[in-house]
Amino acid sequence: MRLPVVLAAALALSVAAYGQTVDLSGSASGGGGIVIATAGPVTLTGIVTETNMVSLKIPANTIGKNGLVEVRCLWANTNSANNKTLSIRLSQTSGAVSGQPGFQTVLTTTATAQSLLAIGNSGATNAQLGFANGQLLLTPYGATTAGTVTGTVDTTADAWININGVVAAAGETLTLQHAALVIFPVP
Amino acid sequence: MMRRALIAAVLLVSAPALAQLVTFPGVGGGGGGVVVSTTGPVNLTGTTAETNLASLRIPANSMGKNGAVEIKALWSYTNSANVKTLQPRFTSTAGATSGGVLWPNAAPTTTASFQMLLILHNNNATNSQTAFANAGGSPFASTASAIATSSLDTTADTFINLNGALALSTETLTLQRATATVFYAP
Repeated sequence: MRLPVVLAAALALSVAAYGQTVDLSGSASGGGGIVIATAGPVTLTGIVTETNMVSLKIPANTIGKNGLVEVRCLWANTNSANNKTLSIRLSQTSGAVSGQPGFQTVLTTTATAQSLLAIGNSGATNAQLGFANGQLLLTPYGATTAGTVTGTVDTTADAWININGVVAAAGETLTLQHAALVIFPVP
Repeated sequence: MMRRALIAAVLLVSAPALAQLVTFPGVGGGGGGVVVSTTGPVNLTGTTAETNLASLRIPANSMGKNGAVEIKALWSYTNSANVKTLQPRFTSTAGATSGGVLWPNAAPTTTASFQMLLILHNNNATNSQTAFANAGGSPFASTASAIATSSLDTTADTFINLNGALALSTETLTLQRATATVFYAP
């Protein structure tokens, strides 16, 4: 059952514009090897500063030099003109509410959202590349004039995906209904 | 002291409880462990009734309490002004053409192909599901719609039914391929 997933992951990573590739076919450490998920919703309210809602640990040495992390989140929020900001950061520490690489998206007059962040190591265990910041957690596929977001988090040590929120009006709410992180290891 | 007490009280009232986590290393069947896929295209023509084109079985207990299912489907159809309806349904029976609507249908007209991604989560219970209530062509976005919910028992087999309907029966709708990947989380 795992073979199609391994093949799909290897294929996805091997078609990037004539770059160097690795083939994980048959490897015991193949694609989608680790899943970390929340277990129930968490709601932010009453605080207008960026606040950590959950930290998903990326265990040391699980990504590899060329692996990928995907973070999928389902959100609900007060539907109003006030900003509700989704903020996701890759950090060396759990619970970080600042630092790069970070990705932010603002919600206003909608009630729910689904986001995807894909960030990967780029030839080294301490060099990350992610799609540009902006509203792109909600449009993770497509084109943009913005540059890529880079990071230097050491993934040979534990690293963290910190999923944070900000509500501009303290009486409003932002709820992280569900979050799941999948690591696709590539050496 | 008063200020500290005040800050502590504010934090107590307003700080969110951190979400509970489950970690499931992939050794011996972790992430993406179950893949269910069609094996070739299937055409719909000659009827205007909603018709099941594929039933992707989510095996009993494969999701766990906090797992997710991703469904990816590629469709093609007659490029015309007539509506072609692409309707996913999450049900306890294979082939269902009613009930189980978590995602609104897609209704393309003057285009030729459509790719959708649907994500279904268990919500800390094997019989509680949530999903983003957008059509599968824009899976990552925000919407004024509420989150879709259902309460199917995933300790028994469940099914993602991919259905189609034609407004004009002489036209064609094809489900080129579809895959469901189950990400188990206890």
